[in-house]
Amino acid sequence: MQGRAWQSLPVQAIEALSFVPFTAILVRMTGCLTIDDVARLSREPIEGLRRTAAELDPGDADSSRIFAKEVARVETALKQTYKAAALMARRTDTLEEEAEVWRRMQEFAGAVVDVLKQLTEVFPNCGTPELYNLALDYRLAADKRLANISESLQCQNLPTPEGLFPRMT
Amino acid sequence: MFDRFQYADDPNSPSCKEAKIQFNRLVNQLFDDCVRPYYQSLTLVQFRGQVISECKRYLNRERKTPPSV
Repeated sequence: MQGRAWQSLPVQAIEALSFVPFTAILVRMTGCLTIDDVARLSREPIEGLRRTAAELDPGDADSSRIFAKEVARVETALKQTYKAAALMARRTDTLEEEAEVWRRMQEFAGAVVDVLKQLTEVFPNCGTPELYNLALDYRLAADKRLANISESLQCQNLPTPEGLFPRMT
Repeated sequence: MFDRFQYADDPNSPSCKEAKIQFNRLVNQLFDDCVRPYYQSLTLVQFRGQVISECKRYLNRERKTPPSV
């Protein structure tokens, strides 16, 4: 009953009611949403930012306001995508699958970094440098998590000394 | 601890950073106390990799275990 009721609500309402990001609900509900899907959906605001930047005059106050809104959209997309990636990584069955999730997240954050690299100079007062730094942080975070998993994958074929780890039944 | 930093919603949050420090500290301590003296062929990096693998296995098992009534 409850599930049926919220399916007809707008995204903002669901988020406000549950305090859970919509992407998190999607992952939980479908179980078949992939990191590729999330990254693809999240690319739209990045493209929007690029398009908007090309159309605006950086010296104009109204342009700066419009651009700042686009920056905020990309920030939301970046944070939501990272949260979804963390959820998906947590739910993968194998280290290989988890590595793939972090690799995709790394690529996505890298794409945000690439777009913002040029725009931080063109629109320096619209939250652009802050978002650029955040994207760098998120790329590094995905990088480190991928490194953890890669390290573990390399050790998978090493013989574990008998009795070192408790046997899980 | 592994769960709290590897899968944290916000990688910049203090709880995530703290969990990571604690995890690394514990792995180093376990290596010094329980591994190095007895299993000299195993390096810290290899041990850490195996610990992560065990953590993943444990979390998967927890995730798939139906909640008890």
